[in-house]
Amino acid sequence: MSAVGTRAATGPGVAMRGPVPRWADWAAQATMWCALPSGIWRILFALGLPAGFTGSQDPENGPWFVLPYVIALTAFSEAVAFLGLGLVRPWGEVWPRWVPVLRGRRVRPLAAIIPASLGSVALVCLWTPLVFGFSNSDPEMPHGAKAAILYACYLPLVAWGPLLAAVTAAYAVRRRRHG
Amino acid sequence: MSRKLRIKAVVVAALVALIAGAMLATGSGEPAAHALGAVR
Repeated sequence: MSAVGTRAATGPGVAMRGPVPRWADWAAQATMWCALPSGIWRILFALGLPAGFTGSQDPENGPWFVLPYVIALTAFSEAVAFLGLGLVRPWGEVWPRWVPVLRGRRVRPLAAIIPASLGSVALVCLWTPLVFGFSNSDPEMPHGAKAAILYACYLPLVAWGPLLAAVTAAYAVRRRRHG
Repeated sequence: MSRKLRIKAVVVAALVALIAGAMLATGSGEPAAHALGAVR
């Protein structure tokens, strides 16, 4: 592969096996941004900002653990998105220092490719229906402008699965060529 | 803080402000529910 359009094949202290295509690096970073607006929306919603839910759907009528649950869910989704970045970073090829037992060992390609592929399929199945809009027949769900805000925040999630699939394919090709 | 990280922090802060502003600017959402006869 030509060096044009690729990211340097080195990282802090660890040499990467072959150059990462520039598009794959951008796509991996984009996955984190895809998950961000919905996470922000969820946290603001849990903090009590008016999201348009009423009646039994109103968080004020919900259990006490709504806020910690929503924060944990957001942290989890961002952590999962962050793992995708490993497909274009040295720590996706060699286990980093802070991982006990495995530190310094080579990451087997399939150990990254299989979970990333399954994750991308799950994300596509989960979020692609959003393309067809939210089903808001429930009168206690957000409507009008509130629904538009909710939709705008969740719509980027549609791109997460395909982007992860593309980054996983780039990782698989690179590991196949360069070990 | 590196320039890239600073830009990312600014973008995240702008997103938070934008979403929070939109949520606040569109009111409580109650009128829509009222219109649908949902609020008792």
